Amino acid sequence: MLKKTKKNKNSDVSRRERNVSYLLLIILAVIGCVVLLVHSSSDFKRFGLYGPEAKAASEEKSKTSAGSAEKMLTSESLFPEQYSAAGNVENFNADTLYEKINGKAPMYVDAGFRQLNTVRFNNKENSKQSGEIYLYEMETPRSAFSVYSNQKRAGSTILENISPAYKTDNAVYFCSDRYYVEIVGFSKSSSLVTDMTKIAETLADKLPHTPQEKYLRELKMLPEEDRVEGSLILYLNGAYGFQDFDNALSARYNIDDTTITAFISIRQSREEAQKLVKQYKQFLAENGASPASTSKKSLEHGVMDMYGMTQIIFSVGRTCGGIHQASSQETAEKLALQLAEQMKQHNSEGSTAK
Amino acid sequence: MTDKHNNNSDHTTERIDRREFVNRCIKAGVSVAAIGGAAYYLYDADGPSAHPAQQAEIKLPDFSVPHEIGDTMSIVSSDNRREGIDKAINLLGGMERFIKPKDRVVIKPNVAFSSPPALGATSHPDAVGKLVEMCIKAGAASVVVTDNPINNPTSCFDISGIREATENAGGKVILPERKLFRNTTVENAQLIKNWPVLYGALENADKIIGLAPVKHHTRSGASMTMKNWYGLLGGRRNIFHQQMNRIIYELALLSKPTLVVLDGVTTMVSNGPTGGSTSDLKETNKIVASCDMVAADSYGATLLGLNQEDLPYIGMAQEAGLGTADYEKLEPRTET
Repeated sequence: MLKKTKKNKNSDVSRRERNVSYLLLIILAVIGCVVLLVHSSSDFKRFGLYGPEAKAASEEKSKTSAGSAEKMLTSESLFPEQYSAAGNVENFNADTLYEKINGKAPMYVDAGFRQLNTVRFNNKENSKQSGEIYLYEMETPRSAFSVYSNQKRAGSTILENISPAYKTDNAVYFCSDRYYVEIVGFSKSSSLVTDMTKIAETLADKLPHTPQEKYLRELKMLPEEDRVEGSLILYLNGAYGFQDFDNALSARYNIDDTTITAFISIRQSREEAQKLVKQYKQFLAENGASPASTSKKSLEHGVMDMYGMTQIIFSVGRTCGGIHQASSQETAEKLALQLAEQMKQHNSEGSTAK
Repeated sequence: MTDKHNNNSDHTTERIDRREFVNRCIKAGVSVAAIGGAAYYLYDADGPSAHPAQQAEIKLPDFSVPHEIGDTMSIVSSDNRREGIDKAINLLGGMERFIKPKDRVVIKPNVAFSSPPALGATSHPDAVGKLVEMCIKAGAASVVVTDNPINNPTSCFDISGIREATENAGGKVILPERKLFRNTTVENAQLIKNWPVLYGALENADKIIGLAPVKHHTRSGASMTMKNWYGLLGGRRNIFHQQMNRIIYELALLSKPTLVVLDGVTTMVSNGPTGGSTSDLKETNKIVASCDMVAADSYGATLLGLNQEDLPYIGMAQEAGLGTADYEKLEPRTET
């Protein structure tokens, strides 16, 4: 009797009902998969947290390369005769970086941070001449150059023997391959800066080096004439306040007694470049810019006036170029045309920003 | 058509009897209840916190003093911190207006980094020493200087010169030992919920004074008097870096100080909050004393070349009634 009932029940289920049930089960399975997928790849970094596996891997990797960094930073040969390392090398990974630099940590982590090793040093004969070395290991030379260039101090002096490098009244900064280095003196002193420059040169010799043209492939598209030395800035994201504007390389130019900033960004495709131009113009318009007329046909639709400052953006192939906040439209257009010409020359080579 | 309809109708009514219907309802109900119950059991309404509260939550007292337009804020031009602080507080009626005899005072400077005074990443020891002296002169029974630094606390207080300045002026440094933290929840907060704060250093205090340098901050735009209370938080407070404006606003909700002093003698105009190069600093030669943190920070923004719109937390704090963003409305006292 019971068997019969069960049989009846099965046979009583209509095809439609069965299909709906299957559909519901499939939807539930898909939801389950999505939940599983999202959880397994959630970005803990957004919260300054790490999953246990990532944390363990990160710590292990840190320890391995921290060993070589420790040797490098405590090596007697690193310091001029009267100096020595004071204390132990401190190591910070992405999880602990904030313990050293607090609010600046997300900037490094977002740019691709691996580890930081720091060591203090002092002059054995003059305790006032002391300082600290910060050796940041980043993911790529572009990551290192990005944090280097975005923090570059105004009014600093370019160093000749390391490239790129500069010094201020109390510090020396440089990057080499995927390493970004800060050597900070605890007081203003020209002799201390001279000694720190020697430390920087020795350290740069110990680090790998990659020519800038190799990791900044878009550099060749920026005109060299009138370019201010050491003015390059690489924005890995959020260039000029526009969140979707990533991988933009900018340089300052001194033309006709005015300083102008030009920028360039290689996109994945011609369509992507055109899309960025459109989005950036919209972003500028939302922030008070309006289209400006121009006599240069090739720049038509690309020139905007923003509270008396000229903004230009255009694309050539899959490359975007432009001028940021120039006080003279005439000079801005002159530089933009030079930039467009360089872009045309190099665009067919298929450079890719990585 | 009618026959077909009737057939279908008969088909469905035949398939299920009352017992079967009740059985199915019970099963479905149990399934829904089990899933709902499990979800409810696993749901953490409070989100992540540093560690579970082991003691009852505390609330920070309100340390503020009455103030009105005209006696709330003072702005002094000076390249000497000791003189500038003296003048700024005297313009508001002197330290005696804020500190009564036998008061136990806590001063909260910014001692975040083990960095020497020349780099401007911390409060300057001259400013700390002067405030301690003034409190003692006003009759304070004790003056404690405390902070929960980012770097090693002992190193921070020593290298910044703040320990020496405090002790030379007759004050006492309290380092942020774990036992001094108690959990608190700020009313209407999204972030400071069941979160440890450095309560042990404050619990016996009658007055609290905040002392902050003016610094650029990569995430929030600026670090001044409101952001300074970040140094009261314990736990993994770096998770708040994703919501800097919100956390600074909530820090203003958390703390009701007697007085804040904004040290703009030197302003860190770039690469904050750590700086590193003296070229990140600019001599701006201003000292602000204020009973209103929002007004103090709003003025401080001008030293950074910013306005209050650049720092959303100022507007958020004003909207919550924590102060006045338009500091000129407070008719700040200046030197004549």
